[in-house]
Amino acid sequence: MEAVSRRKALTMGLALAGGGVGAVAARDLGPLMGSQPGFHHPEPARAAMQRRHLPNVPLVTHEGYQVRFYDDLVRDKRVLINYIDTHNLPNASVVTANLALLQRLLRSRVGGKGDISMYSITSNPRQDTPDVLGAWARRHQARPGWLFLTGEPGEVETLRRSLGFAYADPADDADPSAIGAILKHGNEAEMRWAHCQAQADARQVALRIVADFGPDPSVPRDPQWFCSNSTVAPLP
Amino acid sequence: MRQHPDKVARRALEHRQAILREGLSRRDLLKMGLLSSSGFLVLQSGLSARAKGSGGGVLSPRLTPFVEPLTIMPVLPERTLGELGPTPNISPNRAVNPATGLPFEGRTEAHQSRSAYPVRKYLATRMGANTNVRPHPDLPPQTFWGYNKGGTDFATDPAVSPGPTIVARYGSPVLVRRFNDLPPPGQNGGFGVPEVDTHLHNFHSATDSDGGPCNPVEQRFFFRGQYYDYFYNMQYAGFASTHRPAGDIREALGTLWYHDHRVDHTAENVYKGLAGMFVAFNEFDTGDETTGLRLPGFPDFDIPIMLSDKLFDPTTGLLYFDTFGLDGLVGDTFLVNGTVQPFLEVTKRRYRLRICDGGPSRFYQLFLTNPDNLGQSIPVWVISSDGNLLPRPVQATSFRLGVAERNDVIVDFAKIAERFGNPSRIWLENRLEQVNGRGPTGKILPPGQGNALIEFRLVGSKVVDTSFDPEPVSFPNVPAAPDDHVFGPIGLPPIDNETPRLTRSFRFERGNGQWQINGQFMACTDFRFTVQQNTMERWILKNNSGSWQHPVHIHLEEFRILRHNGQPVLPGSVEYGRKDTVKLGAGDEVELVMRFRDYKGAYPMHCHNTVHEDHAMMLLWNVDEVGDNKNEP
Repeated sequence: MEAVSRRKALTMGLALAGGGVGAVAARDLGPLMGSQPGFHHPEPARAAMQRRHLPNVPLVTHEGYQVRFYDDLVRDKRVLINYIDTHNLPNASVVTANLALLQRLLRSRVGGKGDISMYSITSNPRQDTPDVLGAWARRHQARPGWLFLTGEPGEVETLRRSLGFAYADPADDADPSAIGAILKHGNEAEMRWAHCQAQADARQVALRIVADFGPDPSVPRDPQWFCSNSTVAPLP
Repeated sequence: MRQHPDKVARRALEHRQAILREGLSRRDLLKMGLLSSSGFLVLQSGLSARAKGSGGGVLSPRLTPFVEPLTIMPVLPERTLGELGPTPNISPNRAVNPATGLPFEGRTEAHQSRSAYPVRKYLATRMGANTNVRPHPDLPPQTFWGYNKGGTDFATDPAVSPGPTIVARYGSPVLVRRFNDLPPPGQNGGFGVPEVDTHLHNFHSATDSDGGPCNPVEQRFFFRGQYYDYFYNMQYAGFASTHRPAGDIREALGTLWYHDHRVDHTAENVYKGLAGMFVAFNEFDTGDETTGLRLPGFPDFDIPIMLSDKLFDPTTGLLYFDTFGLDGLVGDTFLVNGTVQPFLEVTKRRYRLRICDGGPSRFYQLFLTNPDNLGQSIPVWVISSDGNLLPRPVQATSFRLGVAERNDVIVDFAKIAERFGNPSRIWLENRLEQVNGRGPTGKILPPGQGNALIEFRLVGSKVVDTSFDPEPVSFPNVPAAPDDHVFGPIGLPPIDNETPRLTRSFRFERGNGQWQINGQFMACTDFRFTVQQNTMERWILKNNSGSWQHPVHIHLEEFRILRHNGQPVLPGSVEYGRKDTVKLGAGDEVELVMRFRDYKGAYPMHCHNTVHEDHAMMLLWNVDEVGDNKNEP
């Protein structure tokens, strides 16, 4: 009973302290008796991951198409995702050139009937309009299967945070180069996500991605494929 | 109005997201005092171990501490050769298994020293999912990944986490066949990948059995449906070079741990349970307190302890990991040997606790706290650094562990009863504040306000204890000297009898938000430099990454720290020992020497904050007959 009254007091303290915009001063007082909140499994793990990290925000491609991030771009797909700000030079050019190399290394796996999609999302949606991104894509000779994406600034920001292109440190979090440092790759259905460094050697990045995504499904599988680093062809 | 505090906290986080959506900047919030530097609305932690987490806003449910007893992991039982299945040969079994379409064995390299040291002990273990894990009675049954005792049926021999403790003896070579029976892709509950590679941290292993992340020629990890034979020759370093044929007893390793090392996915796989302890005995450190060094007897009074901090989803009560996060993950719920804040009944005598920081990102400063008299300073005797016996035990009232570091400590509950008013309970308490994955703040919390990890319950009266008493020979009761060897012949091999072949410098840094070492990125197929086999080198590790802190681990052999931030590491310091991981605090510079004996091949050096490690804070180096002279590789 004593514990319950402590909890009541605690709750009241919280309620008082929480008078501002959601401020909380919670203080644990050690073992509290009483029942735990009931746990339930309201959603499968994949749905929870979608809710937390893969919001279905509307975006616009560099070709002007309206898309939904989760439904159209990520669900059931193997994807590469990075953030760029085409006004953050030379960083954005270096990263984009590297990804253009990566796209060539991954050959037919990106675009057409390939199994991998590439997305470069702007962290500067106010300036990176679809037209600007379209010109950027042409300048970097992006091939089909690689989309450059923008959208309403609030939505793009929500997406950035959900995808974890964000840092606890405010300076890092405001730095487009830091935001653009990471190339994330994921297999949505398998709930498998990992990161490479967007400026790392493209062949190294390709190897890491292939290690996660497996061999090209369109090529007959060699049982020893995974123990060979020749799974990525040299550039033609 | 009654409201559970967790609900209030959750709602506060939702408010935070709303505030951010409304465009109030972090700076505004900080100015208003509403946001902590870790990005959470202001919370105060307390003694029930709900430290501030850093897992994307997840606050674990409140759990009552000290409800369940400490789990003592079972010892992995010996198997007959016949029980293993296909004969384990020196060469890997690369025949294709028609059931999987993959080679039976994931290993691709031959065991380097096995012909000279035939296997005397066979072990087997299967990695798999256990869907019925209860870290706390108030959490729902849930899935962890772990290792079983080698049986073929998880129904009767389930995978547990931490895995069974492997007990080995020097001079008795061990082969461990590890089967990957993890669930198929897409059945990971949100994180964990079913490819693995098991590093024995930090045994003096050949590259074929080291369990490193990658290898310039092949991928090191292996797949579901495969096994991998790991061979540990159980010889001391120097066995094929300076001290043939058994190695240098002074290099004896004692407390090791094994854990997954799958490149890019180590953090989530270890967090999900793929880790266990490994204890190595020898003719001096025998495990029997009536013989040799008479350290407290295994397993009753010699207890491996693995610490790990976790997050549990407050809605589902299930283990949560943020595979999208970059900074590192700090949990608010502390598991010790797989159980939330357990208790352990102890008799009034000495215990050897082998404490390992299992990560992913937290540093600990561990104290013994009498919760009924918080003003007491209770000593322990630290007898090992990274599991290797020190030249002289160090009496301390606290000790610090970074991820992957181990300290063996002697806790004397008889003396605690005598000198501290016969307390009925004592906590092992972490009092180091850490609010995010960058590293600890450095603040030591007041006693009783940190994270109580274990409650020791002192029962009975003082018992006969013939085990070694470190107090009369410990520093600072006794001055420490360079030639100390309290645990002789185990101790410190001389390092001044050999001139380092060269000095190499490594800057651990951050460029444009990316981890780099000496301005370069991790490459899985290239080694940065080549060390000449059977030589010594001097390495300087410098943390140039601002306020980030990194526990840096080097595979192959133990090193000796000469200087930390320019100050010589002197006898009497816990760092004055053989180590495999060193805490690189913000701006730190560490000078160490290391030998590279007996083996050839590629080994890594990496940050053991496993989230940083997965974000490529790593490099590979090579050992060969001829070394290079790259000073800043």
